[in-house]
Amino acid sequence: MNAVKYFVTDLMPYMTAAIFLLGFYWKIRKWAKSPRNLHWELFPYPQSNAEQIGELIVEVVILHSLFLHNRKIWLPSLAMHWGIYHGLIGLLLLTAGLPRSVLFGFAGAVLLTLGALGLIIVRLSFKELRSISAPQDYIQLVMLAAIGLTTLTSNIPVQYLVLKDYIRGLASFNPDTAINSAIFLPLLLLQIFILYMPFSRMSHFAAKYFTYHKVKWGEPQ
Amino acid sequence: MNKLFDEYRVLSDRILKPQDERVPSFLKAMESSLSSQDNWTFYLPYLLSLENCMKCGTCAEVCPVYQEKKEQIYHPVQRADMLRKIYQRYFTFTGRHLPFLVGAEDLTEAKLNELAESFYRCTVCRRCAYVCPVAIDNGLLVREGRKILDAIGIAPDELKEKGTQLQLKMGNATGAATPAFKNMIEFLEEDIEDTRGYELEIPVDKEGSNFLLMHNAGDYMAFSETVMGAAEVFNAAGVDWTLNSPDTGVNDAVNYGLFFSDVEFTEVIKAQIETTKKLGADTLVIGECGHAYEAMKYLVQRLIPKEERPFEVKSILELMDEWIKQGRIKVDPSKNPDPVTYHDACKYGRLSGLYEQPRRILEASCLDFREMYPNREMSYCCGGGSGFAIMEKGDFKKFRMEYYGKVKAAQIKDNGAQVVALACSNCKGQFRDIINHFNLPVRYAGISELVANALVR
Repeated sequence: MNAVKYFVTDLMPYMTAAIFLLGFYWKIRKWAKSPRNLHWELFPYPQSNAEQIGELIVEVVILHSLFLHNRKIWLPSLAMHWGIYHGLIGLLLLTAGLPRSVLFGFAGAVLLTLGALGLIIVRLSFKELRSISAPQDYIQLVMLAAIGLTTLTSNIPVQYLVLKDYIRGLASFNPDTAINSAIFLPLLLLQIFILYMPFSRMSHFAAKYFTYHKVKWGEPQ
Repeated sequence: MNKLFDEYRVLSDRILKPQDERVPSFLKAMESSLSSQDNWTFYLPYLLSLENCMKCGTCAEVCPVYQEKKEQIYHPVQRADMLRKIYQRYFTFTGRHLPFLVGAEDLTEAKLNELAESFYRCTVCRRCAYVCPVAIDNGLLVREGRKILDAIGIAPDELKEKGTQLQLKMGNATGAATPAFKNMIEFLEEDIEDTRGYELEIPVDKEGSNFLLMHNAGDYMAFSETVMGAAEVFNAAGVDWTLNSPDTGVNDAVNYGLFFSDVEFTEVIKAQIETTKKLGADTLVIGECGHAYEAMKYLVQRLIPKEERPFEVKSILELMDEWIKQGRIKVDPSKNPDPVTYHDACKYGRLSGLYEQPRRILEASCLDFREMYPNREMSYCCGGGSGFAIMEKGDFKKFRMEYYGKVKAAQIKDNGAQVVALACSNCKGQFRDIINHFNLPVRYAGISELVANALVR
């Protein structure tokens, strides 16, 4: 068990980071090196950089397309995405030693869990969604819900200081192996999910740059 | 002919060849389609759309066909997944080793039949792509699938044999030779004289003119009011213009290659460019034909270098709009007193951005212009797109009416217009059928026809 724990807490994070970065590099390079496709834009599209960034922010923050056209999955999807955003902010605050990291982390885990579970329920409830879903579509939602749930049950507020030292230790290539076993499970799940991202459509957040900027949005007129 | 998944069959057995073994060649052609060299024209959007669909189903919420009947076979993801499942099974690591996990499936001859038939049930109107949160383009996947099918010899005869190939051989997809074409022009001149009471000469094959006007050649026979209207407008504008006969090369603006093959597309567009160069026109004006405009205005740009296209390209809509604005032609809206509505053709609107021009033209030349809803980028495809308007085999006309036409008919009824103004030949073909099929108390008219009718001479 100690060897497994050592692997997951001390070694795996570096492997995960390396594979994540290399995987994304490979994927983004493939997209970036693609020949310039024929004009295939859809009108109207935002013309200036400011308009494009504005549309991007609205889409990322409130999932505008879903809000307008697919309301039934908008709320759980929004919760799930906000859960991820809050979790990331919490981790950043924690690493930087700034306040409110626990609050963000906790809110993130709650939103992520509710959102992912909500999406599973929606996906199972509607025939038209069920019939276009493969096991993968459920597995990735279950993984996200599990990350959220195990984070909540690991009692993060209590672990706060341990986690802070652990992340700082990782960042300085001197991991603190005294990490509490309560964090072990969410840490393992999170790393599996991060490993999965570049090799699945969980890289859609990066793909969106290309689908919008290189295809859907044409040149300024 | 056996049915495949419903009561219609747009691809006949002669085209589909269900008795042949086609799966190996399909997979080979698909492998080539996944090469950035062999398929550079759409490689990036193709790959992105194969790999990043989140299966959220937003596309289905806006697909007019799916919303009409809610039949799963018309779900945009279900259709695009027919290709994605093959991609995953044969061209990805996970799909090769853990197919059940990602929904990858072996391709069988039966599945190939269904894929082919299904890929000709979508007009590639791209309403779904416009709203997709990830900007995934299921329409593009349909077109890529059709390209693969064409590479193994499966393409509707209406689009290929009697479409691109006839156009390249005869100069137009209607098969009209020069004498017949010139007779038709004489007939139209006489018709204008009879109805308007003045003589008008329609110039043909005039070299070095400012404007070469190329119509969808089908318009000469099916929608001659549009051709006559355009002639009257060009005449009233007092510009130096000409039509062209097959003697000069291609005299048909259509490019059905847009619907199913980059190879055919390129051949046709090259022939059109050669013809325009030969006639030495400054501007090639695309008549009322949506896909022809998209092809010559946008798709050509990265396909043929600019120096090989020494002329401007304009839609007749842009020209009429300019001429009205400049006062070059004068229109009296009271000459078109009936309520008029405009249908945004997908190719003019979502795919080319011509939203304001037709509206300005109609507001200037009609007394009562009213919108139908939804419109512009959210306009519903009428069902004539992708060449469907000229396809009737296998009870396909009924399919076009029941799956696409119904929603359009309801829109027209709601808005109370008596005239539906149309700027695209495929739309005209489809609306002609919709009006008959649903017994609508309206008529359709080309934009040029309405402008000509409002001309103050």
